[in-house]
Amino acid sequence: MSDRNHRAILEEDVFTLTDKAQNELRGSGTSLAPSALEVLVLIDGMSTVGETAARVRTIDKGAVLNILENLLYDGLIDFVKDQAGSLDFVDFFQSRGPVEPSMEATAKARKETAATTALLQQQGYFVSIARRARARKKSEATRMLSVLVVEDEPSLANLLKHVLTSEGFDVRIAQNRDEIVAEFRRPQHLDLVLLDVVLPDVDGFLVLLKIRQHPELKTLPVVMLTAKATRDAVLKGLAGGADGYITKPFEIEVLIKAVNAVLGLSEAGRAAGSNKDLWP
Amino acid sequence: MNDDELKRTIGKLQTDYAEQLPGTVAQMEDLWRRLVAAQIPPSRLADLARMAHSITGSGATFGLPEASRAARDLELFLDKLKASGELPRPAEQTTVSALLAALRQAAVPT
Repeated sequence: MSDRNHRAILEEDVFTLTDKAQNELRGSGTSLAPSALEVLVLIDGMSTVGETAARVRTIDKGAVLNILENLLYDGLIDFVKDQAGSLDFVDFFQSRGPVEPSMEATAKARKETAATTALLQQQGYFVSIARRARARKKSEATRMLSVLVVEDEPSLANLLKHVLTSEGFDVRIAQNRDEIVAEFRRPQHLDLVLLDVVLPDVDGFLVLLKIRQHPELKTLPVVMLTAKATRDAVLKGLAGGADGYITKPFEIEVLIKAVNAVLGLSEAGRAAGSNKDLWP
Repeated sequence: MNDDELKRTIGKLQTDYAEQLPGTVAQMEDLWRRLVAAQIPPSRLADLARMAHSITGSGATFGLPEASRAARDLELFLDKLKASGELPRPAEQTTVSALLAALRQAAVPT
């Protein structure tokens, strides 16, 4: 059993059945107690421990936890990992680590945001592209590029979904902390996160820092898309490792250009032109 | 979805947004009235600030730039107030009421 299996089981944990459990369930007889069997058949690789416990009617949550510990010890269940086999999103918001960007990152970001205030006053929005991917055409991609839009304003989320979908992206939406974690748990690959800052139950800057600290997600491009339009906020985002920063309210054409820039997509490779006027 | 379909979709979203915005502002005014009447705790000022923040970030994108501007003025003022954790003083209450009224006016499409 690996070291990770020695840690206490949390309500947020998600388990999957092992081959041993599959064989146990397929076999004609089982040595498991009825209560253990009842818990085992509810393990689906998606539900959290809390959700699973809520579905078990015959025993209380404490007993379910004990059963899960035994099932884990017996090698019948294992913690869910992503397709790379090394992600553990249970700790996404709990892991320790620096919560402030390095001085070097802050100094670099300070340079990048020098023009923020003037641009905000001049054009009403500010766009900063801190990092661009290697130039490529969208047609080079062997699959549709995926964008996770973290946005709690339903109208904006809907608008972004339509616009980015029309640009040829696969778009997913998360409106709060649980939905963010759920999206990161999904096995499908993500190519970009558009991240709001003011969310109902979590700060977008914290999400950014957690992404940058995560071993598998740290290189995932993140563009902050937020009405936090002060120079300090822009500085915080870029110093925290955002690849771009777009202030709200934004113009759709500007947003598309920024997304393409961060992903390194060339003008010719886009599904639609960025200079067109999308307003009716 | 081709460009024309996208334009129609965006037009519909814009219309929907403009139609629901006055209702959102009315909710904010109701929240404010209850705050001033001490029917709800001062901590709920943060909810009001969040609602203002949301309009700040979305209004102009949906064709209502004045709403974004008015909401930003309100949001900035509320941000200062909510830090104190107390019910705003009378002068501050007057300012918030005026900023809310300005937002209500800006929420009506011209």
